[in-house]
Amino acid sequence: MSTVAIKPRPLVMKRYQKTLSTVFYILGALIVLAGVFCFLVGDMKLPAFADIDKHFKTVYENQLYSGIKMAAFDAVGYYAIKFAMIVIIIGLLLILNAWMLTGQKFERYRDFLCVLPAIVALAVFTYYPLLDLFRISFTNWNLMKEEYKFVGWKNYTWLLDGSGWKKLSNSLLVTVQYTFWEVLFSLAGGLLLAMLFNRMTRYFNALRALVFMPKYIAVSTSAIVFVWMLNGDHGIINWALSVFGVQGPNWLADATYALPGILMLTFWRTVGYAMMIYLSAMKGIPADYYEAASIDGADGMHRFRFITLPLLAPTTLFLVVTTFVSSMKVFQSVDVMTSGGPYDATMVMVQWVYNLSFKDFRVDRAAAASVIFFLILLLCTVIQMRYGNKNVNYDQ
Amino acid sequence: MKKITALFMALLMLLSVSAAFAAENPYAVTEPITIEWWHSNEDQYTEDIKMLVEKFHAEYPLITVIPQYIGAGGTLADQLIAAHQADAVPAVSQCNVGYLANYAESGVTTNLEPYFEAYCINKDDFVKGYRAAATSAADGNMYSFPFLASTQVIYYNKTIAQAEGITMPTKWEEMDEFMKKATVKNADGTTARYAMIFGGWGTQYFETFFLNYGVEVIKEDGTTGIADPVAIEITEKIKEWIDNGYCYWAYGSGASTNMRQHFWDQTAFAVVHTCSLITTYRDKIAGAFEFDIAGFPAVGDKANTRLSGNHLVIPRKASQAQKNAGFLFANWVTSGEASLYWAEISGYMPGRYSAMQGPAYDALIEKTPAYEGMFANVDNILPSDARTYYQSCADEWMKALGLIFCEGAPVEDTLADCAETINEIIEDAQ
Repeated sequence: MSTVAIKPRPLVMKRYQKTLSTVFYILGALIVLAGVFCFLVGDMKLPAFADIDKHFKTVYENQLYSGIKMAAFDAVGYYAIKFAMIVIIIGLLLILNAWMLTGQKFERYRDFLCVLPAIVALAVFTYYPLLDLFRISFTNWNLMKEEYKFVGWKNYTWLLDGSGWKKLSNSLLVTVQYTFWEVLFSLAGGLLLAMLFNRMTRYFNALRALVFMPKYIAVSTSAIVFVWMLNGDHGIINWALSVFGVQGPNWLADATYALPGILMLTFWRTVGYAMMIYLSAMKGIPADYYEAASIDGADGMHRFRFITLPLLAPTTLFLVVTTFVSSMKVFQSVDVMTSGGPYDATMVMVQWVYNLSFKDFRVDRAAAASVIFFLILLLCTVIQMRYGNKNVNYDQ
Repeated sequence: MKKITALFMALLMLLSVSAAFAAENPYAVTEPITIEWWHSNEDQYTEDIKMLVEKFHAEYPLITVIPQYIGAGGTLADQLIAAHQADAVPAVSQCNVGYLANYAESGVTTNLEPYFEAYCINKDDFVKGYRAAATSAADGNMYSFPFLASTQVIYYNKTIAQAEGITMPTKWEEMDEFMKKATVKNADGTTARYAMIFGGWGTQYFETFFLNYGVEVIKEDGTTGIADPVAIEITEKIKEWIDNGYCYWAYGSGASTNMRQHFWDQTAFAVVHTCSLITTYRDKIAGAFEFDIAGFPAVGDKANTRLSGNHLVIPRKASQAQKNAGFLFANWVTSGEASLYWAEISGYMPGRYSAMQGPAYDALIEKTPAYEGMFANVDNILPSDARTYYQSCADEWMKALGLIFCEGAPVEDTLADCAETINEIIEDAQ
């Protein structure tokens, strides 16, 4: 039986590739220009365009207070000014689309169209907020006030060379301390438990599940339970200590013990996850290595030191990077247990940013702090990955 | 026939008076409307709220109120600001007094003066301190209704007081003697019963001890007075009591819970707390002993306390129709019978003098006599400093006092450091 090769029919679109591309280029450029114009009107508040801004605000307020409906043109104008950056992003996406249409083979453009919805979602829900964060950090936006203006580097000056520095440095220090102990405890604990359960029989499956279970419980729920357990006067932990004649501290109200108190909850929640990841990696280490090492006279410690540990390095790197990033962003447990207190002893970075935004309503300062925090996290992650990739052996 | 004609005429007159009023009053509600009321009253008040809303609806059939529990005070404040930014506000919202000045100054809330005028509401009827809190310093207009007002009081164990002949101090100078007399020590020198526990987790619980002495968190010259000699003297005195085991400073996570538990367990003779928890104290004590309420010890003739609790605001971004209906509801729920009902179930105080007289008030006092002392001091309640950055300054001071009383930090150095931080905040805000 002979096979007949079917030649794909050229798509109609392919024929009009150039025309379409030109249309997208023009449309994209116009939208970008419109977005920039809206940005100048709404955000930069250029005096030359003050009347335009006022007009759209007035028609909107008439709708809000008196129910007089805005005309379609006014509605488009009002929202375009309010979300100028999204307009710019849409224009840029159209230009990208036009470039893909002409600069690439049609098949590649087709592939690009397939991922375009995802790109749009990423652009609007991830990169727009990020860009907006940078924008807000250069304004004096107080959440309670209607109007704000660009103030240049003022928020950064407050943070790095003003009264904000004390708070920023304290928050960074507390966050680093928290992260260090979380990474250390959860990785060391996870590794130890993985070694234990790796050797155990199937009867220990249930126990393994128990260790992992806390990961499924909502942080806020378990945090409330820990608040009670750690209560200085009536908590079960101090009661247990008192059985041995030890007077426990007032954990969450004492500057020295508040962070260890929160870390107890963290360790309880995360150690099971690290254990599971290590355990699955251990199962992947061929038994031959251990057999060969045993024949060569290596004892348990040597086998762990020279086989298990190096072969778990990629897993360790993965856990270090993911745990590091998640613990630097810790918030819920701190918010429920101490709200950053006592005396800012547990004032981690995200809690501080939250307080700036929703207690002081200074979104501008919160944005500047977030930008600095974002850059620090980015730098740390890049260093980790670079250092890790050089020192981790992925070969088995 | 004559009777029917007379009735018809009377009805006609009533309708024409109402129509004339509606025509004259630009804020009258003339069409059916549904409004949302955001509040932070927890589950235990659900049935009471439902009952009050139904009562209001019976009196104002054109207005349907949907109560929405948003969360505790802080959460409600966050949500209200988010709603303000998104132009999706309710008609009426509860609001912690700490936010009132900021909201009025920033245009989040509606100026109620034209409404008061249109409805001929006597503003002098509002309790002096509550009215001051509702009034914007910038324009002198009222922006909120006093709703669930509270202040700080001293709860004390009346049974022990009578048995041991302890009298509550009425002057600050009597505190030393009181502390010694009300404290019970174990044989090993540890404290078996504290004379008093100070609430150190909220500035309102301690600041008036200092303010009555003339200490100002923000002085007229734009610096803080928390490290001035008189402030150091008071701080050292409290520290001395703490070091002697007469009292302790409740601070940090669980501070409020632990303090209350000490009182219920009778390991504390007296506690400084909010009057709004009077029903909780009454229910928890459940007759195990008698308790009463005392005012703050005076310094000279000053025995002021701070206003806490909530007001009702009408967001500026609500539509005019929503505002009109919201005003009527807020006025109704904060006056007369409704406000006394709140006082009875919650311990929050009525916001109008007119509510504190008459048979309903007498019945309330008869039921819970402790209210009498509480209401008697109503004119000593002062609003907090209205400056937007005041709370940030006061919070720093609270942390410093916590460090001194709970962590043993040196008084003068810690207060001096704190003063430096507060001065930076003040400078920064200006």
